[in-house]
Amino acid sequence: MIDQELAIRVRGLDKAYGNTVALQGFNLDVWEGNLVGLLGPSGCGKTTALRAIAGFERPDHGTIDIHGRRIVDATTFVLPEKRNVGMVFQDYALFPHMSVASNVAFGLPSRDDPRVGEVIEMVGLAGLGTRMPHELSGGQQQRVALARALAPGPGVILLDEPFSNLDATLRDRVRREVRSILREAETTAVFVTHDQEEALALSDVVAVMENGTIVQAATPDELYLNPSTRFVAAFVGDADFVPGVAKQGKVVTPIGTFATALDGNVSVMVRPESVSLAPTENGNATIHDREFFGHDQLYVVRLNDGHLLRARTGPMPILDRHQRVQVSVRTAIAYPNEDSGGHPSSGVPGPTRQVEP
Amino acid sequence: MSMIARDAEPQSLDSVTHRTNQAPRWLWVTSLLVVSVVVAPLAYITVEVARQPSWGLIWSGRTAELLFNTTVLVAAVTTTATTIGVGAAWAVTRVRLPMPALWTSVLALPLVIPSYVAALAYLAASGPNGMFAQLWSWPVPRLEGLLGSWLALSLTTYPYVFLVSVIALRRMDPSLEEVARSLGKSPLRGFFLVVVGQLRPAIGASGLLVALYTLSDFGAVSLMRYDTFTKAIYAQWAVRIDRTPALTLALVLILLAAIILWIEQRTRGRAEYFTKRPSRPPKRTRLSRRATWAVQGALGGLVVLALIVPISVLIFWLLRGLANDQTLTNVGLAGLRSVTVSGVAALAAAVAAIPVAVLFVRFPSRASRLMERAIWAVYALPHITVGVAILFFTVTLVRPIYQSLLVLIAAYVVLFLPQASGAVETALRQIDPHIEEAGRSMGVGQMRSFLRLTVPLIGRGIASGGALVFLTVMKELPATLLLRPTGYDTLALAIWQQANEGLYTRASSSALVLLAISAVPMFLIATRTIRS
Repeated sequence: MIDQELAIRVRGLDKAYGNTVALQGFNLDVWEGNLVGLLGPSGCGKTTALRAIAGFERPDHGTIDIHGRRIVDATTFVLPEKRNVGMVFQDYALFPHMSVASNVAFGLPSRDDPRVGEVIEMVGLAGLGTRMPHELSGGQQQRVALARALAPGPGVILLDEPFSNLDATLRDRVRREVRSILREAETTAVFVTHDQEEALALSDVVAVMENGTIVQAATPDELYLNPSTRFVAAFVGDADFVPGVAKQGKVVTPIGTFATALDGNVSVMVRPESVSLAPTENGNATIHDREFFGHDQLYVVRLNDGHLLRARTGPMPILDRHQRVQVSVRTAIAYPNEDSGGHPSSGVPGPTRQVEP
Repeated sequence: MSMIARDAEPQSLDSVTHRTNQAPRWLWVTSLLVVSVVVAPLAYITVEVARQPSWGLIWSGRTAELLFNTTVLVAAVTTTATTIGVGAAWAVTRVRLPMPALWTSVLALPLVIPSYVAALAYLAASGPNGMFAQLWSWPVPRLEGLLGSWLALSLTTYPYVFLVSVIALRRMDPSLEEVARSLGKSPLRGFFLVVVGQLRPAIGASGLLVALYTLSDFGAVSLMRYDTFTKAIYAQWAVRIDRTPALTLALVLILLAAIILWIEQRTRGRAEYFTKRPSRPPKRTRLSRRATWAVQGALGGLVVLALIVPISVLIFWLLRGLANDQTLTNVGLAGLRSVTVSGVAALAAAVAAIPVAVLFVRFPSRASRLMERAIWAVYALPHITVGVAILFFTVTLVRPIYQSLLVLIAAYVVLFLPQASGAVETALRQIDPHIEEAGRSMGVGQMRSFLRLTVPLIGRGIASGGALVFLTVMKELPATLLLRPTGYDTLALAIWQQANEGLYTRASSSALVLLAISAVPMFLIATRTIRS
C-alpha cells in the first residue's frame, strides 16, 4: 500500500454552521484504488466532509488535493463540475424526467457515446436503458446512480449513505454488487455510513469520525482488534467496559488481571466473543439473561460486583438464569478513564493477554 | 385583489440539504430587480404623501363618510359570506344528501363570476326595466347602493369560505364529533361545540380574504353607485388630475388593508388544529326527510341566487338584444385584446417568478424572506391603490411610457407575481434538491444543470402559475381602467363601461364571452383543489 499513489489528501478541514461545528481539523488520506468507509454516528460531520470533497460545501479552513491537484485552500475553490469527482446521493437524485440512458449520458459530451451502453452493462442493467427511473426497483435505481457517476470516468467516486434507502433483505446483495462494480471499474471510492457492519464488510480502510474529526483510520480487522480509543471500541462492534486500577504494568479487575502500560483508574474493554463461561458452584458471576440465535447465543452475566457483561458463545453450553458461572476473558484492552475522546495516555495500547488465569 | 389563496406548503425536502451556500450573484441581481419593480409604486405613494400630506382631506367629513360606508360593507359582506360558506360546507360534508359531489361543484361555481359581472346581472334583473319586470311584471325594487353591493359581493365571495371549509372539514378527525355525540350532544350542538372551534383558522383565513376582496372591490360598488374608498379614489383621478387627494385616499385604504391583516394575525390563536390525515372519512349525519329537504332547499336557493339568476339575466339580455337586431360590435376585438394582454402578462409573470422562487426556496435568508413578504404585501393591496401609484409614478418619473401596454403589463406582474412565484415555489419544493448537485458532480456547470434539470422539472409549476395569472388578469378591472392606453378596451373594461351606461345587452354579451374564456379553466383549477 505504501508505494501506491495518494488519490485524496485532506488536511486540517474546519467547517462551522453558526455555532455548530461540523468539521474540526479533519484529515484524510485515500490511496488510489481503495474503498474507504467514513464511519461515524449521525451528526459527526461525515456527510459534510464528503460534500466538501465533492465541492458542495466550502470549508472555512484547510486544504484538499485530488490526485496531486490542489482543489481547495484559502484562495482556491475549484467548482464541483471541474473536480472530476463522481457522487452517488443517498436518495440517488435520479433525473425523473429522463430515461436511464439519458441519466447516464448526462455527464458525457454526447447521448450516443458508446460509454453509455458500456456502464449500463457494467452495472448489470443491460436492456433497461429506455426505462424511466420510476419504473425501476430500489436496487436498480441505486445501480443507475452508480452508473451515472461512473460514466464520465471520474478520478474518485463519493457515495453518501448509499445503502440506507434499501430494505434489509436487499441491502447485503446490493452491497456486494456495488463493491464488485467499483472493483471492476478500478475506481477510488469513499462512502459514508453510520452502520459499522457495513463499513467493516465493504471497506479496505475504515475511517472512524467523532465530533468532526477522524479518530482512527485503519483496515477493518485492525480497527476491530485494536481500537485506538474507548469511543472507537464502543462504536465498532460490541464492547463492555469493566473498571479497574492499573499500577506497575498490571490492571486488576473482577474478571482477571491484565497487562497494561497505563497507570491509575482505567476501563477495561471486553468483546463478548472473548468471554467464556464455565458453570461452577463458586463462580464469579450469575447468568442474567440469554438471547438464542441458533448459530450462536448471547449471554448477559452479572458479576459479583453488579456489573453486567455480555458473552457470545456457540449454541452450547445451555445455562439457566441465575446459574452461577466462572467468567474468563481471553483478551481485553485498557483505556484511561479520563478518556474524553483523546488517546490513551501511554500511546496506542496493544491487545493485552491475561497475565494470570 | 385576486383571491387565489396561497398553496399550502407541501412537505419540504429542504431538510436534507445544507443551505449555507451563497446564492449565485445573477440570482440575487435578477430577483432584486423583480422585487424592486414590485415594491417601487408602493414606496412612491408613501414618499409622495409624506412629502405633502393633505391633512385637510384626511380629517374631512368626506373621509369619515367613506370610512363608514366601507366599514359597513366589509362587515356585512364578511359576515354573510362566512355564514353561508361554512353552513354550505357543513351540509355537503356532514349531512347525508343525494349527490354530494355535484352539490360541492355547483356551490363553488359562483367563484368564477367577477363581482362587477354579478353587479351587472342584479342591476339588469331588478327595477322597473329589469328582467323580472319585463318577463313576469314582478315589481322587484332596483338593487343598488349598499343592498346591491352587499348582495353582489356576498354571493361571489362565499365560495372562498366554502372551499376552504370543505377542505378543513374533510381533514378533521371524525372521532371528535363522535365524542361530542357520545357525551350527549345533538349533531347540531356538536357541530358548534367541536367543529366550528376547529374550523377557526380556516374561517379566519378565508374571512380575511373576503374582507380584503370587499375592501378592494371597485367594479361592483361603482356600478351600484355606493361610495367607498375605491370609488372615491377613481372619482378623484377622473375629475381632476391633481394627484394628492387620490394618493392620500389610496394610502388610507392601504392602512385599512393592513389593519384587517393585523386583526386576523392577532386573533389567530395558538392551538394546532388539524390532524394530519384522518383515519377514516367523516360520517354524514342522516337527517329526517323534512330536514333533508330543508337543507337541499336552502342550498338550491343559494345556487339560484348566486349562479342561475346572474347567468339567466345575462342570457336574457343577450337574446333580447339579438331579437331587436342590436349589433354586438367590438366584443371580438375586446376579447382579442383581453387574451393578448393576459397572455403576455402571464408569460412575463412566469419568467419573473423563476429567479424569485429559486432564491426563496433554495437560498432562504433574512433578506430573501423580506423580499418574499414584500411581494405578498403588494399582492394583498387593493388594485386601485397600486394602479394609482403606478399611474402617477409613470406620469412623474417615466413619462415616455405613460399609457403604454408596457406599463399595463408591468402593473399586472406587480399585482399578480405571487400567484406565479407561489406555484413555482411549490414545484421547486417537490423536487429533490440533490438533482442539480448530481448534474454538477457529473461535470455539467451550474447554469446548464439548472436549465436542463430543474427547469424541465418545474415546467408544470411555471405553466400553472402562468395560467393562474392569465385567468386573473382577464377579469382585472381597476388597474386596467387607470393604466390602459386610451381606447384600449378589454372585455372587463367593456363590461364595466357598458353596464355603467345601462347598455345591458352589450355588457351581457361581453360578460358571457369573459365567462366563457376565464370561467371554465378557473372552475377546473378550483375543483382540482378540493379533490386533492
